[in-house]
Amino acid sequence: MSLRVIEKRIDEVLDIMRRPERVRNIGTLAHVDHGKTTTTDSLLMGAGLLSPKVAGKALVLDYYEVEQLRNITVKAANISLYFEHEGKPYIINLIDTPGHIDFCGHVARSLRVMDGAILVVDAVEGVMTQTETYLRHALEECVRPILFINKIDRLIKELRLEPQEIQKRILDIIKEVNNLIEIYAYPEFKQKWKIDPAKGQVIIGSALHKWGVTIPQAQKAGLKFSNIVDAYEKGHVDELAQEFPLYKAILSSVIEHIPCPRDAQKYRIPRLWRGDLNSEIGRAMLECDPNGPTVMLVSKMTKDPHAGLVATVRVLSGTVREGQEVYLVSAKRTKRVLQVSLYMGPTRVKTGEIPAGNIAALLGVDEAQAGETIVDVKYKDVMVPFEKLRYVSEPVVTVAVEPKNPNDLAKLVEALKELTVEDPTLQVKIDQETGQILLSGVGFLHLEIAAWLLKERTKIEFTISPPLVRFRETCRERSPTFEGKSPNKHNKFKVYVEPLDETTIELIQKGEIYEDQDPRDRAKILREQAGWDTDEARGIWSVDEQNCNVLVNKTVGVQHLKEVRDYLIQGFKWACSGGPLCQEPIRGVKVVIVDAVVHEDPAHRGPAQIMPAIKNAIFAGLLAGKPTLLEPILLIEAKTTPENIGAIISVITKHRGKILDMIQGEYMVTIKGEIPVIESFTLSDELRSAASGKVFWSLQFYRWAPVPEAMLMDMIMKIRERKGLPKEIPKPEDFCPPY
Amino acid sequence: MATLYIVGAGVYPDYISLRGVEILRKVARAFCELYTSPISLETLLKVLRNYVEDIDGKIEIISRREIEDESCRRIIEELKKGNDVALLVPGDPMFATTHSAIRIIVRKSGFNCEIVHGVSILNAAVSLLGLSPYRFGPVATVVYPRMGVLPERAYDVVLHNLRNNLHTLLLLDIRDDGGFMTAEEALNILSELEHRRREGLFVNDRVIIVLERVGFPDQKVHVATFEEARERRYGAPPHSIVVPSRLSPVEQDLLHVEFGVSYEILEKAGLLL
Ligand SMILES: Nc1nc2c(ncn2[C@@H]2O[C@H](COP(=O)(O)OP(=O)(O)OP(=O)(O)O)[C@@H](O)[C@H]2O)c(=O)[nH]1
Ligand SMILES: [Mg+2]
Repeated sequence: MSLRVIEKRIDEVLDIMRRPERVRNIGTLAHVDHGKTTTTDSLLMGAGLLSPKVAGKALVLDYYEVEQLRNITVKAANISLYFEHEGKPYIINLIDTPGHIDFCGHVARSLRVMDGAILVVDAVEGVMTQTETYLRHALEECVRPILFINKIDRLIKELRLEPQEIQKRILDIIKEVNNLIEIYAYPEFKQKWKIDPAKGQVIIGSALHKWGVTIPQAQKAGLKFSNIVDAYEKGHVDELAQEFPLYKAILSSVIEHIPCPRDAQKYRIPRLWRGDLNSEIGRAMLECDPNGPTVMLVSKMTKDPHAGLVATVRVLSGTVREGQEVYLVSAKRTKRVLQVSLYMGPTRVKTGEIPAGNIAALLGVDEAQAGETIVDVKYKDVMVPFEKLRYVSEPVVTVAVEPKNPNDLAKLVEALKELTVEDPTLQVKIDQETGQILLSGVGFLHLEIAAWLLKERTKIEFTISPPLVRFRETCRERSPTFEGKSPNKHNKFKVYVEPLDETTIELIQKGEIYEDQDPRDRAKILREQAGWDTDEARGIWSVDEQNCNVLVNKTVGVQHLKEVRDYLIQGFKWACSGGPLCQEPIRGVKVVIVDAVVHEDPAHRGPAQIMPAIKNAIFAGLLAGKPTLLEPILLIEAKTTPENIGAIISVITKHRGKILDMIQGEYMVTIKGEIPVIESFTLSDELRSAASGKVFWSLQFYRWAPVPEAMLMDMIMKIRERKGLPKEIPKPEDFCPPY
Repeated sequence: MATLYIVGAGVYPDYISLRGVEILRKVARAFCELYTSPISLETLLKVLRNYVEDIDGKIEIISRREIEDESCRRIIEELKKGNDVALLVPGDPMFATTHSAIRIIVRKSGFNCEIVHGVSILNAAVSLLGLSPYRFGPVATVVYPRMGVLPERAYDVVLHNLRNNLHTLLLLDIRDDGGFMTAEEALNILSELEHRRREGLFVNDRVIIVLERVGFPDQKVHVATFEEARERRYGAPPHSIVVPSRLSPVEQDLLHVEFGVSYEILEKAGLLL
């Protein structure tokens, strides 16, 4: 396809983009390998941006070679498609989302900028864990689903089902999806968003063979299940694809059933934004007004080797233009938009401006992170940022990265930091003692891919240590009060720690309780939902969102305390980043300051004095509060044939796993269970050999759980030894000596 | 019972007292703490060698870390052996820096602790300028912003002192890497505080006194308006600053005869009592 064709279309495209009713923002969601990428390719081919010859083979949305190898999409990529429906032109902004649970962070960020989702479900495997996880998050983000039941060919060729059985299988899947919608949708959408095959909200087909059809289309054309079975048996699949191209079925259903940005923003803005809906900005966003104040939401940051950092944004109101001065609300920075472009195929095309309701690519807003709210600089003081994005997974696995040539260290760290900008679920930390670069992610695969990207970009030779599992430290009861003293002994803080209740932890995880919250709003939520005492809740000085800890000030009338507040908060976060048991992060702890003495002169109460003082008190408290380690637990869902149930269960239980549920399906049994991450390294091989290959399974982060008491000491000692810490576990007196 | 002598070395090593010298001769082991002093161990020893011949053999540096985080382990061990120990510190033992903790630990551990006075910047600055010690208010330190926080204590103290017609001695911060804040930096910080507070303290015609290397062979005094003081360049630290309140006739005369300050500028600044 020549460049000229695209350029000719830009004007047209922009014209369409200015009319929200002609725009749709959608993405694909599916369990791993259910066929998102193949489906997306069909859509691209249909929309005419790619030559049909290329599309079948190259998985266009998979930018990186590693994915081609693994057949998984790494980054949520964007493409704007052109499609004509009932004689009218439409622009469909399409976001391809990754299916592997290790990359859930990407999915969460993609959802924010989409109004609708194509839920792709493999007809054989049916609804799986991640299907459910993503559908739930989509519904929580007010993203409306339609359903594509893919791989119908497998029902015919592999399972050899009769037409009635195929029909029943399809109805079962629809029923299962609708059950989930009933559970997870907001009340006003529980009915409205149920998937109705009679209205064309379900597409059945085969992405591989590029055909797809909705029930009304099939009825109109007189197509029956038996015809489809015939087509496969007699080798007429190409004709099926000719007559019922998948892209048409999907894109028509999208246009008919996914709301346009203006309609969607009317209900999504009130759900996702806490600002005043009657303000100028509020009204402009509700109306998706291209002439209103410019407001944008960043869904991701990617590094372009030539252009630098590219921000992918959804324009919620106004029109973003080249040269415009904008304000990044969380980063608190003013920046100039250097370039505005549109995603077309795998490339970006400069357009100079993009109106409300669309997805744009921006250059010039380097400090933004995924989830950032960007506004026209004129509104910098009045803009309320969008809710924090919730990340589904936590970084629980760490590797040490070491350059072969020590001179490359700085360059490597720099490149890693860039990676974390693109993917906030990655974390980089330099170990102060050993100087090691530690990279943490949500799973092994996640880290392997990050390492691959790093090598591609930097061409630096480095080694990666075997993966290490991250733990958390916590207490199980309220500690006595300890007095933490500053090194110079002129500052003292009386502190106790206690376990934070589960509800509060959950509120922090869900982003309903957060650091920069209005203290009164926070106190209200904590009182009503978690039973906090109002005064105590108002005394919250800091919320460690990362590890779910809270710092509370309960002192009264202590002189100069306010002046060291920031240092106390930093000291609290410092303590939480690595606890006394074995320098693993502290989680789920409430730290309460009950009294304090602060030196009057700032030279004697700087951070070097205050931070250790509070940290020592927290450490002493934790050690005296029945401390324990928490380990990450995975949720495993395995589907297998009935004769393999026993073998699968025994693999899970052998690894300290538990069976949570077992669901008998028609052909398959689904076993749900949990298993500690450290027990999961050899799981793939063991499951496969136990079920002689007849098992599909998925793993995702589930929860933190205390390490069994019998293993606790051993585990702590192992971690201490690995980190080169002294053999002895410290005692409270080591941090708060009697004097 | 063993005794710890905390010996003040003064603002410059040759200010050490005869009593201090006596003690250094007597003890078998001595420590010196230099983290709040711009004087190197070399300079210190050069002076001390003239009075205590075997000083090189018995003095060791003790770090801030050891004093603050390890409760002076080596000192206590030595005392436990029944040996007297000297701890040589800059200035006066109990002024400005924080040796009170050592004194408490030593006492609580059941040993004696004796203070041997030294000349601190607190009295040296006052005497040098000839300002009346009765007319000084509390001291404050001008500190660097740390972790994004710029403490305003220095501003509060000067404001409070001036309102009560009291002079203020401002000490300057020590950087986390051990370097000393210069007068230039301090004046910039005071000017930033004025910008935030706007209560008219550090405005152009405020008269201030910048002290350079008090007690050193090359000490200097600059009396100037805030504006002039900010334009000047100063020598090596340590520096300190005095913000005078209204001056008594004797104070005026001393500033005039010693430092050539004209009565006109004092009058213009409203500093004549
Ligand atoms: N038989 C059959 N196989 C299909 C169909 N659609 C996709 N596949 C195959 O299923 C596998 C996964 O397809 P992808 O499109 O990469 O799936 P995905 O959901 O993007 O996978 P991830 O990105 O890894 O989550 C590939 O081997 C495809 O060829 C189909 O309709 N029928
Ligand atoms: Mg894919």
